Amino acid sequence: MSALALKLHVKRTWLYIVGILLLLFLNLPILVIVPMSFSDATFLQFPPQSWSLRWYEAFFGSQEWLASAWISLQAAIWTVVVAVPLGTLAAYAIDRTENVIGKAVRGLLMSPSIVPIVIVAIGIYFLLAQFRLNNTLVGLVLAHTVLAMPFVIIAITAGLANFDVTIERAARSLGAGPVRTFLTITVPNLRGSIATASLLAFLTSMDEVVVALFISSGPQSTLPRRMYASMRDQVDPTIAAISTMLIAVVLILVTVMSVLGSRNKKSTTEN
Amino acid sequence: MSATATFETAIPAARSSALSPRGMTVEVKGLAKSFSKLTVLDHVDLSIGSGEFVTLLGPSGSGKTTLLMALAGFTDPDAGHISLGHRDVTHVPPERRNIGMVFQSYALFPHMTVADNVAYPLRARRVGRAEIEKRVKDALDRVQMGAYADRRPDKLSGGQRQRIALARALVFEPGLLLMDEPLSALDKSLREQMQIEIRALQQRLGITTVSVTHDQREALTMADRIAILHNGRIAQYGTSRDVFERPVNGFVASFMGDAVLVPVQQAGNGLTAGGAVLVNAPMVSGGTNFLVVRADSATLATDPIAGATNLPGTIVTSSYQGSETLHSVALETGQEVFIRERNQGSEPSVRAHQRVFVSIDVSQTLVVPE
Amino acid sequence: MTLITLGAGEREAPVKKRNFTWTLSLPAVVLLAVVCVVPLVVLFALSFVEGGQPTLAHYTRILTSPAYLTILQTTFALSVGVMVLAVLLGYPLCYFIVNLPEKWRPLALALVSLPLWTSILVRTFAWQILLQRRGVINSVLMDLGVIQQPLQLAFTIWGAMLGMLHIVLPLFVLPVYVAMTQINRRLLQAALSLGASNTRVFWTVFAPLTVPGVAAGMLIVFIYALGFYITPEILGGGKVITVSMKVAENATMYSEWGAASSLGAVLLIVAGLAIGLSSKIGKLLSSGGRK
Repeated sequence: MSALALKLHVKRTWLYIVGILLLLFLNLPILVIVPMSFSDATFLQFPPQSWSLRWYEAFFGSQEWLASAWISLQAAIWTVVVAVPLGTLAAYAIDRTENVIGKAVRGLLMSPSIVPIVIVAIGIYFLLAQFRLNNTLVGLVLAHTVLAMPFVIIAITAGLANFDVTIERAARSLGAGPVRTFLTITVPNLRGSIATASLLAFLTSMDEVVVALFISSGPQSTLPRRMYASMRDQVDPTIAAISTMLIAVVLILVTVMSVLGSRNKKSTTEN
Repeated sequence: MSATATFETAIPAARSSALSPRGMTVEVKGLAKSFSKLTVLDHVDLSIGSGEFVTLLGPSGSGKTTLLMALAGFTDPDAGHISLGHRDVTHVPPERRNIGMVFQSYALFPHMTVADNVAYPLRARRVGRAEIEKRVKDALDRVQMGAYADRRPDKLSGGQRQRIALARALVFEPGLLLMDEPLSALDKSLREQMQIEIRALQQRLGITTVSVTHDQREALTMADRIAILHNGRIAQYGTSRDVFERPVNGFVASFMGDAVLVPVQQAGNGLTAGGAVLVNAPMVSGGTNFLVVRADSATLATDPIAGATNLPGTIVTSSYQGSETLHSVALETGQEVFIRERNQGSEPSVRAHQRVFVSIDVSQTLVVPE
Repeated sequence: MTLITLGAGEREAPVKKRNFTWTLSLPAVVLLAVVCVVPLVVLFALSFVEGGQPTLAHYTRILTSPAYLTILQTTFALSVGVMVLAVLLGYPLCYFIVNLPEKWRPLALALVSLPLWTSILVRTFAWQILLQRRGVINSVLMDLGVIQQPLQLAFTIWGAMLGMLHIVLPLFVLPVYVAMTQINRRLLQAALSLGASNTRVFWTVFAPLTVPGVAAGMLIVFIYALGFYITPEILGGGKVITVSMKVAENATMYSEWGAASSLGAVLLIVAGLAIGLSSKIGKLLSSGGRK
């Protein structure tokens, strides 16, 4: 390291300290949950004095917890199945339409991310109430799809930004109509973005709690819904176990995605 | 290196007689296109015969790429008609025009192997699997890429990708081949080799071809006829000879090869330019006219050469270029012209600031309107 | 018609004349319109209805009733407070990351993004653990002898704000980081070469250029904070009531659609005003120095 660079690093010590402290601030709270989930005590105790897996057993042994996890999983999968194709088509349409219509469509599809979630939630609650779709999986999926849409649009739009339009033209010149071109050329080359969009849609649905508060309850509760109820009443360490598992799932998914992503980059062509 | 041999020998003699010209004719009438107040094509007419190789040549912004895209169907013209093979295709989408296209970036599908790339148009036409295999193999052999069938495009060099793009565009035997600056991404020696190879292949297949380029050398080498575009219009449309030796105006003359235009004036019964009397200059009609001074068609002389047009001037610089020397000469008009001389002997023939004459032989005297 | 020479590399028309590609977005558009827009429009209409009669009663109640005013105040104060804290803490963090050697930056950004990927419930729960009477913070502080009695952190507005800050910080850092990376290094080098000290360069060249990015980040945080529901409810323990909480209460407990939607409308109006104000200010400030 050159003398100038070293001098710069020394001067910056205070900045480094502040930065690292802030990064710790962002991440430590979440990590604190992990040891708590292995605590044997029924009340909060830090650091845990005795260790056990009882809270994990509590989760896996409870019909209600498992049922809510299953509902959340189903909702998340269906959300991906609905949101990703619809969102991909829409993002493509927005990208290839450079006029007022394109901008309006984009604004509409991005609106759930700007409007305060409670407002979206009461709207959905109101709508589903009219059709008696509250407390149903269908209602959940509809709601989560709407909430996931902005993320799908962002992910696909990012992929389209790096997309070489000429290969679509090449396909057309070779005799493929617009539909065949889209399915055989465009979509395969958006694989990475579609995977990211799917992950985002999945997580959005799995983690979604506010709308679930309105439209899912009792036996139809989603996992976050049940967690919320438990958190309000008393601090139930089972939540620590569930949270730890959720954190682990996110870490695994994100790591897998980034590994796949960097492998993809190495083998993609720059035309 | 016998480049023609590479393609020719790949095709057995028996087949060559079976291939007859099957190119579509191309008729363009009154084609116009503007992009938000910029006129890119200004009522262009163009007529191309079956099996002809036509190059659209011009500087950036001349409209040549737009014209090509209109022929392909990727740009909707504002006015005019396009007919391919006597069929009006003005509003027909690209996939139904029976054209093959090679893009500047080759546009090979990155998620498919070379073989799948070449098979793509056949699959789109629902050709049978066995037939596809055979035709893909033939197409790849034709461009000497048979061994690369299972490679991915990102593992190929620029020249190799170019051949694959060509094979893919020709495998389904289209009536018209369109090429958008296909050689611009290649280095010089490869470019010259490919010029000859593509030309040979095109002649063998007899397919009508329209190619866009800004490189006049490439145009002169490959084309049967050249259409020079300038500001959205065709300035001249003719054979290489026509365009080079008989340019219709100043733009064409200076575009087709290192030329400087010296204004011509009336002087008594004759014409002068740059302080020299024009010898045997062709009569020209009204408007401003110019004498075309080309680097390769004028010579330097210390004394005026009898029977030639001799423009007085002073040497500014001379730069040694190996087998030639490029001199820049300041004329009396203040213009600077470039003259290329072959180097004979080890001594430079002229020195800086020397007074010389730029001498143009009668046979090379060329006067053009503006 | 004007004949103009285009730059090197002519562009062709991006779109054919009759382009129907936009129709591909219709399924998504219909879904959103039906599930999101239509109900909200209906609810908005209902905000002007009470007991079957058209009225502005809901709105006047919001603006006059002390209970509602407190809620509005609380929400606004929380949002502004969280926003200010986000800037104070987030800006140094961004600056830190920007000045990290290239190879450490992805890790730092990942550490900022990781909380974002984690469920908001998990994050809120984390603060619940931390802030409780016998929670982590109190335990550590007591073990260290800093305090004798556990602090009342949970169920206060400060606890809520702390949790909200934690959630909102990444939302500020990411866009501001991007804005910082887009500042042209050459400008900073030029200033240094002209004799300005590092500090001077920072305050007179770098910081002003980051203003648009920071403003955008602040807007994002503010609007997000306006809509906070879960975190203040759980961490505030009933002492903190935000607009979102009241809207939910009106809708679910009392089925008071008019009251709920009028509050919601007020929230949207405040958010809209914030956006409008921000873009007006943005237009007034010049944004030079971009790459």
